[in-house]
Parts: sequence; C-alpha cells; structure tokens
Amino acid sequence: MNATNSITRLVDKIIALELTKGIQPSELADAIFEKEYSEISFKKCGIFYEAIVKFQDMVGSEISNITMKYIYNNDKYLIKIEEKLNNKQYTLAWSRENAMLALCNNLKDEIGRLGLDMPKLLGSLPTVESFGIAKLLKLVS
Amino acid sequence: MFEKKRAELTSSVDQYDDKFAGMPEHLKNAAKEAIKKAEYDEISKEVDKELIRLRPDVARKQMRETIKSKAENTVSDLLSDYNKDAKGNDLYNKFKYVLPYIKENTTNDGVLVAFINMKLYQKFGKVTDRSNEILIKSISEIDVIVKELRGMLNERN
Repeated sequence: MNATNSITRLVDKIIALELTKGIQPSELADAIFEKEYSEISFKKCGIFYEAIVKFQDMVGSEISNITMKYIYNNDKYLIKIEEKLNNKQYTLAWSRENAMLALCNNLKDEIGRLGLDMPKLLGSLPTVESFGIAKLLKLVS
Repeated sequence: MFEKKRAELTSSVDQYDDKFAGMPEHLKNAAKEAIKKAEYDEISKEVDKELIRLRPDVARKQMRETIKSKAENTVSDLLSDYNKDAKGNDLYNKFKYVLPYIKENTTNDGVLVAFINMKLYQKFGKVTDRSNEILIKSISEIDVIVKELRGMLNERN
C-alpha cells in the first residue's frame, strides 16, 4: 500500500473511532436475560458512569468468571474497559485515549515518511477533554 | 473533519426521504432513527476492536472461534504444503516425544492442532485464564508457531 493510501485509511479509522460510542449501557443491561450473565450494575462516579458486568465463559468443561467494568462519559461515549478474570486484578482491556493515541502515532509515522509538517497537522485534530480525565479518575478511585 | 462525516451520515439518511412518502409521521421518524443507527454501526466496524461494540461474552466467543479457525486453516495449509494426508497418522512418530498425550491413531491434522494448542498453552496458560488482550495475542502467535512447525517438518523429512 502506498503512503497516501494508508494515510487515508488511518484517517478513516480515526473518524470511525471518534464516531463510535461503543456498546451502550442499555445493550449491556439487556444481557442480564442471557444465561451467562449473573450481575449487571450501574453507578455514577462524579462525571463518569460505571457499568459492572459479571458473566461466565465456558470452554468445554472449564468455566471462567469474568467481570468487566465499562466507563462512560456524560455523552454516553465509552471511555474505558477494564477486565477482571477469576480472582485476578482488574486490567485495562481498552481505552479510547490509548486507541486514539496509537492511531495518531501510526498516522504520524506515515506522514513523517512523506516529510509533511506534523505539528500543524496534529493541531487540526480535535480533542475531547473528558476522554483524558478517565486516567485521572483511576488515580482518585 | 468529524462534523463533515456526521453531516454526510445525516444527508445519507435524508436521501431516503422520498421512500417514506405517505408514511405516518411517527413511523417516518422511527425509520429514520433506525437507518441512522445502522449507518453508525457500519462505521463502528472500522474500529477493529470487537470488545467495544459487542457484548463481552460474544466478543470473547468470537475471539476463541478466530483462534480455532486460524489454527485449523494453517494446519490444512501445512498438510498440503508437505503432502500429508490429514487423516493419515504418519506424523505421530515425529511428535510423540513433544506431545506425550497423542496416541498412535491420532490423525495428522489432530497432531498439528495439538501442537499449536500446546504451544499457546505454554505461553499464555489456559484459554479460560486468558484476558481479551492475551486472546488477541494468541491469534498472532499462531504465525510464530507455524514457522516453528515448518522448521520441524523440514528437519526430519
């Protein structure tokens, strides 16, 4: 793939990520009727909303208990997903900030190959403040 | 940039306006909402992380399915590259020391799949203990294992 092609592809991905709200709390809540799910709860944490979903995953005769934590902002955008397997600790499964950063870094590399003015281009990308605050929240909680 | 895309989506909904002619107003709006949601869902597919748009159990099942089908596909590629019969059992002798639990009548495809699973187990542990992140890594790890398998098959042929 040539450079302009992969840049278009990356820009499309950035737009897609920006427009993707992620699985909505209502869709998660509906899952309680599925046999795998044992508990689904929601609460407010300051300016964020937290959904905790517990379910069992069966592989053959082995069962694992999985707890997922979904963090949303006020606009119902999914910001972060944490995952907890059996008795282990919560680990970060996905964060919007990291995902966006990774895409921007790829874009930076691609643009770098063309020798364009990087800071100016990055300056033209919008930033949503609350996405970054999710990290702060973890420190507080 | 994002606003432009949003506007694009809205106008793509509007282009169906004439199709709704004669439809009661409340149904028209419902139909428009549904189309809009479908358009956004389509865009979401661009984001290659299933976890953020699917229910967690579904995302997990899908990932396990991908691992399984990828292992099966690469095994059938290997078998045809090395001219082995999938249901034969001549690979047993080559692998009996690395895979103690295979039996003399284990078929060739079974031997190779068992080898891939064993390698994944050694590296990442039980499937039930793997997080989403690790499941994704397992998928790409199969390529590494296949290289090793090719080496082994070359070596003793």
